[in-house]
Amino acid sequence: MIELSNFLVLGALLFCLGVAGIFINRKNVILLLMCIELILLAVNINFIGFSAYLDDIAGQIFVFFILTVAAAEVAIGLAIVVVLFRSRGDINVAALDTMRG
Amino acid sequence: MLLAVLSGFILAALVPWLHPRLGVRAGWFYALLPAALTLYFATFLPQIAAGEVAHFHYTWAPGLGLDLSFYVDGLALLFALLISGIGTFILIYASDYLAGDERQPRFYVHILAFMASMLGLVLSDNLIALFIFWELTSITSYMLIGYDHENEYARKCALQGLIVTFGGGLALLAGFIMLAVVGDSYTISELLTQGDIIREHEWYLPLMLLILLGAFTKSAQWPFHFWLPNAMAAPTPVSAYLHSATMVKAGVYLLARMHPAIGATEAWILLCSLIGAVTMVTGAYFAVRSTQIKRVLAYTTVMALGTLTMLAGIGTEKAMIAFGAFLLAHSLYKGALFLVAGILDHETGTKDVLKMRGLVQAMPITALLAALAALSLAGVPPLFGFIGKEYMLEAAVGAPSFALLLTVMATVAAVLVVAAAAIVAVRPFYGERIETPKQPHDPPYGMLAGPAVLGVLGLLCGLAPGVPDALLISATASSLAGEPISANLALWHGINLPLLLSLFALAAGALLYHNWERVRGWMGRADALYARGPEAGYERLMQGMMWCADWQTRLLQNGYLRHYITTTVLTFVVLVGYTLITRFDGSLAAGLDVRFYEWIVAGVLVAAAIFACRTASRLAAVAAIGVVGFAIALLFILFSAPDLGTTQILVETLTVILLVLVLFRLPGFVSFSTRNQRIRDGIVAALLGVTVTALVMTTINYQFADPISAYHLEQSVPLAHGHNVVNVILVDYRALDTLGEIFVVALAAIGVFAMLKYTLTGESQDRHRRLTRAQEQTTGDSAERAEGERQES
Amino acid sequence: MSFETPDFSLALPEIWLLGAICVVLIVDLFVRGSRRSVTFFLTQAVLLVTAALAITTQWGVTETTFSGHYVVDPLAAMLKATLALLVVLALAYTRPYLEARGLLQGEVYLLALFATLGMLIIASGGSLLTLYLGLEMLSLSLYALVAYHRDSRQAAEAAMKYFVLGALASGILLYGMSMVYGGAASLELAVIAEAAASEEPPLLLLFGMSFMLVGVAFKLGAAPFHAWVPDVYQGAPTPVTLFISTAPKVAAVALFLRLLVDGLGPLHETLQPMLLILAAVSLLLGNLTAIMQTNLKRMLAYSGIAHAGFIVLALAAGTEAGHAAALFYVIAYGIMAAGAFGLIIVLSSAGTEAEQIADYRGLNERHPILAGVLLLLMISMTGIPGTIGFYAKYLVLKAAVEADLIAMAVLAVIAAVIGAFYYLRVLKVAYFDRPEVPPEGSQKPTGPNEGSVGEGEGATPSRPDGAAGTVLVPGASLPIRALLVVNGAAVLVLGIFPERLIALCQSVLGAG
Repeated sequence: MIELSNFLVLGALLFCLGVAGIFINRKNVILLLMCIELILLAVNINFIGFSAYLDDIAGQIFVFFILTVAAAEVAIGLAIVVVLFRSRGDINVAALDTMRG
Repeated sequence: MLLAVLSGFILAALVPWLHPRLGVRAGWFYALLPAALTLYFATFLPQIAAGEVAHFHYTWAPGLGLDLSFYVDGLALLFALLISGIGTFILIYASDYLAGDERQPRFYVHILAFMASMLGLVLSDNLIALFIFWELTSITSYMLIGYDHENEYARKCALQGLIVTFGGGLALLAGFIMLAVVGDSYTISELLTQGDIIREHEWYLPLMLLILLGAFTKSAQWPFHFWLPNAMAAPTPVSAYLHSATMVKAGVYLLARMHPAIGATEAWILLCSLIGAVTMVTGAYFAVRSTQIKRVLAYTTVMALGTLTMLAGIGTEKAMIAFGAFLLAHSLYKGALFLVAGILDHETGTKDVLKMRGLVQAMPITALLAALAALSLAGVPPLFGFIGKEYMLEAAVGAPSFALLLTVMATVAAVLVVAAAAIVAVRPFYGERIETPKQPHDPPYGMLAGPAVLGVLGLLCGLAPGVPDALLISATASSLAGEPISANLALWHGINLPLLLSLFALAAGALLYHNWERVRGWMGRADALYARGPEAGYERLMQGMMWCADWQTRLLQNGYLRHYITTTVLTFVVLVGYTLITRFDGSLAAGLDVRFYEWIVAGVLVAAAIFACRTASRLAAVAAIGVVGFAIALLFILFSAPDLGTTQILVETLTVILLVLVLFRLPGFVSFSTRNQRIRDGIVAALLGVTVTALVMTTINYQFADPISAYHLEQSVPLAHGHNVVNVILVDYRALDTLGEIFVVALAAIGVFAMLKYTLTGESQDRHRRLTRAQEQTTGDSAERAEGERQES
Repeated sequence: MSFETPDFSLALPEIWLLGAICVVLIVDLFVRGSRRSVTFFLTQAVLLVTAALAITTQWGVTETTFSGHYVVDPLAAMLKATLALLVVLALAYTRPYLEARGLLQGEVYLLALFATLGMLIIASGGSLLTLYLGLEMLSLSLYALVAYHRDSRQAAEAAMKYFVLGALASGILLYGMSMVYGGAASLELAVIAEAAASEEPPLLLLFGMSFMLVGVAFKLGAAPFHAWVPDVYQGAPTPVTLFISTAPKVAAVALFLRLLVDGLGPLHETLQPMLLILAAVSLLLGNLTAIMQTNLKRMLAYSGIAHAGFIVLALAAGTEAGHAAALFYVIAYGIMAAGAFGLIIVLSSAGTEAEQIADYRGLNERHPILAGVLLLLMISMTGIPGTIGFYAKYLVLKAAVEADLIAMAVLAVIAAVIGAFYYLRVLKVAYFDRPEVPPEGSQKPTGPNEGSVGEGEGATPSRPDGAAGTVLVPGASLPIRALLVVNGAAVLVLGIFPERLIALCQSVLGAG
């Protein structure tokens, strides 16, 4: 067994990386999707860690649901990327600026 | 009673259906309603004169504290009579004034709805119902001011009036809610008896300020007075009705109504009497300054409203009586004067006093009616206006505080008003005749009826002041004071200071009018001051709001996704940071037992990491990452884990070599962002990192189970016969894991080898392709950079 | 721990809806023709039955099932009925618009149904898990709906922004949930509430709460998590905008009530300042930015942010009266927003989108009845008495004052005044400004206006569309216009007799 704090630190690191990746990235939408996955992974690690330490199975079940939802989310995300690419010809994040004000 | 209040709405709803069926005389038909209402309200007179009050109660939404209770006392009845009585003449007048206008139905809908709202306002015994009617008067008046919607100016003025009064109205709502919470009731008549509790409460001051704000905006008190003269863009019947007799008095009504509950404190006296006095003088001053007849009248209305506010502020018994008398007098003569102004405008085609002279031959009856009303305005005996003014001066003289100041201001205002009365009633009618755009003659009887009845009433009341006194004025004053007062109005008081002041005002006013042209010239020079006055303030405020809106729209809603994300992340950091700061209990300190050489190693580590981020060369970056790895190895050794340290050094060395081999052949770094962007992102990232680090450190102390290390230390010798715990874990407890890892590393190594081999052999044919790609990338970068700079600027 | 068979009958509305969705899905495969009548009517019928089931089987019942993950109480029943009916209203507007643009496919209704299912699950959420699943079901359907117009650049961009920000927000929410789970050792809201009510609540709960607030505020569209709102409102096809601005807002309030009141209510003291910040920023930013808009959809988006500020203010009061005020406000907003976007739909025809405020010039001259509806909606959004919007604002202000948030109440008042400025400007345009192109053909004189609309439901315009050549021609058919008039009248009628609805909101939340 590893200490709970290690889980938490790892979760926090992944979370930070995911969030930072989302707002620092200015090139590619796919990268955004990957960062979102990273955040969800951080959550999963948190849940598993807590679940193990609390000796409560509910957290792990939650993780299963998150995994499923994450898959659905990515599917929708990729579909939107495809639509975006079809209508604009690129998936550059910085170019998403036709609506403003 | 419910029917009486709501009948206006019902009739208004029927107008679109009725109007085509009634033909040109529709206005006369509609006037039957207010006439009937006047009679109905008049039946309350004996009861009220006897000092009683009447309550009516209808449930509406009791769960909300909202019901349609009506409460008739002197004050409410005086207003109700004015509203329905003057309303009658306004409707008759309008049917001639607007003859031939295709938008008539709309006018009648709004004015009837307005009348009903106004009646509801003055009769309501429920705070919320009062507020509802209050706002309904605002919105109907907006529609009425904007009636002449072809006119850009009318539309602007309508919006200005509505914004000012609506804003005040909402402040009023906030004040009402606080009042209801403090007094624990929504019923006005109950609140009136709880004045002492309310005045003692800590919320009293904000509550009173909010209610005063509502009242002052509605009644066009300084510094909100500017909307009223601008509202004169409305058709004249509307001006006469809303902007002199009824709506603008709603604020004054509210002051009087709330006086027993929240009045008579120092703050109240100070605010009401001083602001009232300032308004009074300002209004009178601009009345003389203006040349447009309706503006002159509008400013004298501002002056009258100021006077009433001042009287409500002074709060002595005399002031209460003066309030009632002045209110009645003002409604009578000002209604008449507006109607006369409307006749002049209608018949001559101009609103400018300077462009009409010597109309007396053409319009003798109009001239007579104008004189009657104007004499009352000027306060000449034996008209009722004289009595009103007399009592007003008396109240100012007898004021408990600022008596001298108020007296001087009241006298100045009186002087100016005399001149204003002359401007309206003398200037257009007498002197040498000049041509007007239209050929004037006396208007139809419908238009004369209103001013005639109102003017004659003013005269009669002046001759027999006992009648209005017994019927209404005493009761009104009693409502204000919250206790019975007997007014005993009389025309003649003997020779006293107010009479002398009155006489002085008449003389000085006449003199002023005589030199009007010159005075106006002087006043014109002071106009620059006005350009910095409250109206300019309003304009400035609006502009400022627009500017602010524009600025923050451009700043925040600029369309870039990553700005949105940055905002989101920053706010998130703030929220979590807030929780951290408020809930931080110092448990962090335990984890900070660090020795100085550990600081040094950590410093090297951080410096290397920063360098790795900032360098432009891949090689340098790899080297910096290597430094980070070795620093970590050093940390392991310092924390007495030499075996881990050795492993780390080996792995690190291998990684650096591999990285160098792979990265060496790739092109240089590409910059996707400008310096500013990087700095900004860096700051946000740092904030996020700091917050989450702090978060983890405060929550890390969770210990649900014993650390596993003790178990390993205990069991490694008996179970695995090994003395090095790490080795035991790697090769015994988790031998399969280790085997798998070795496989993975081996596979990766093979892959890397294959790649390198391919790159080295295929280099010659590949070089050309790589070069072009690099070039493309550079051009792409510069475009990207240019765009980035554009965003920043 | 033994497995306990859950009481499925308690969750009848959701089970029915899920089953019905499958049926609709299959039926739609066999439907021919462009009008999709079968799918449309089936969808509406399914939703109506759902609302009826929610009321008949869940009203007055207070129980939990699925091991505490699913809660049935009067609040859930009322929310479900409201949500289903709002969706019915929203979908009723969609058909002619989509049909005219060749967008009418069964997927719209299916996605809307799935979103509704998600919302119902939120309404009954008894644990973090159910709430999360409901939220994701709702969000994923909405992402797809926004991107639904595949050939529109704007829609694609809006969907991308919505998706990225939404996924980030739900990631943060989820991270908060994991912390709450760690702090309270359970996913069930009831257990979490116990942990939160203890003497010294674990820090993890507090941090988890701040994280979860981000997610909820995002769904509600409260600033500064509002960035998606204007782009999505503008970019999405108008019927989708209509849908997003009605029921999901109610669902967001439901999420708040479940998560941060049922679950973490005892920690309200820490939550309140954060909510106040959100409320203040939303009120000012929403209203100020709305002033600058020339696009009506975008203006309504910002006004929606300002309304969200009011809702958050009511929630910040933290009292039962405050929660009831928020619930009433959001329902009132749903009705008003449905009417406003419905009006845009009605006035848009195949070639034109009635999006620009300037397009509404002289509306009163040409379509007095529609102008009357616009008048009612705008003064209701302003909060002028006699309309439902007034009571919404009144209840919020009252709750704020009673919770001793005087300064915030005054700020809300100032914001409302700024708001009046742009709502009334729309009215000014519709009533007082002249259209650029003078109306051709025979014009009726200005007929009845707002005085008669309230009563004039029966007198729906039956006149021929003689106003050809003008800027805006109502593209919708007669029933849709009748619906719009009824919607506008509802704003008035509920504004005059609000008691029942308010009492309902208060009773389900245990206030007054």
